[in-house]
Amino acid sequence: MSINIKYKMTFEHADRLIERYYEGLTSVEEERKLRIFLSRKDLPEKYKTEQAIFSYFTPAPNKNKFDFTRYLRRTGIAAALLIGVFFAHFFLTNRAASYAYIDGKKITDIQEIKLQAMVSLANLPSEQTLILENLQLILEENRFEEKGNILSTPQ
Amino acid sequence: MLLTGFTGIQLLPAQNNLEIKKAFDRYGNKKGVVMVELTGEMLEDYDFSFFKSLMIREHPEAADYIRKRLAIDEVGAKKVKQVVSNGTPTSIYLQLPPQRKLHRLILFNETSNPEYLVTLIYIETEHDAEDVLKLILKKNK
Repeated sequence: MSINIKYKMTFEHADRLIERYYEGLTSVEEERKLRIFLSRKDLPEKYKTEQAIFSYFTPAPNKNKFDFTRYLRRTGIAAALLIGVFFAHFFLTNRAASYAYIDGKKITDIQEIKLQAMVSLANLPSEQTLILENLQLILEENRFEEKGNILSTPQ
Repeated sequence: MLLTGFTGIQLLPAQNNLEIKKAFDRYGNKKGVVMVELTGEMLEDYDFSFFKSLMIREHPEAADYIRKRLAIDEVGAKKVKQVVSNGTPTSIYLQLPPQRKLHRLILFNETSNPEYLVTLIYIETEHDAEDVLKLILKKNK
């Protein structure tokens, strides 16, 4: 069984160490002790400058420690970004996908694109024309057959 | 990225599996050609989900090339309507089986009056393909 007794640095001791620190005479161990002392929240105003200096050089907290709230926040932001990118991609590609090429030149003017689409549809023959054309072809074929029959009929 | 990639694939028009895609790729950017592609909200006023057309002027070889592509796509067609002149189809209307709940239509026309013009149209629609076809042809009275 071991008993840990926490050593609490006195102000006098701290003052001495700070003085040595500024003179560049402190050891690594002394600076560690000073850092612990200066991380206390109940220190008088006079230590503010040293607190600022030491907090700047204080190593970042252990990153290996798993912080669930931070993890949730980060994944939430990432998910929101991903969804945003998805919707932007969906709507932008939908808009950008409508286009026309005239003589190899890309046209993006909506009215012009729609007009060209209408023109292409108008180029198709109507149902009536289709029927009439087919009837005409049948009649022409029959006429040929009749002519052939006349020519081949023995007199 | 995976999600967008996956959705992107899902959004690709079914035309990509058809032979006529080669015609659009081959002639789309050429001189004397007009190619149109309409998707999404641009088609809100129409009965289509996807529209792509090609108008080729003074290029009879293009008509032959498209006819060959259509002959392959015709194999899986549900319905075929065509006008044959001197043994060559000048108008071909194909109704393809639906894909991803979308009915597909391919419309081809070759005319030389008043100018030589080949028109190829590919349409995807949620509506009945026959009804859409009737609507298009009625408008062209």
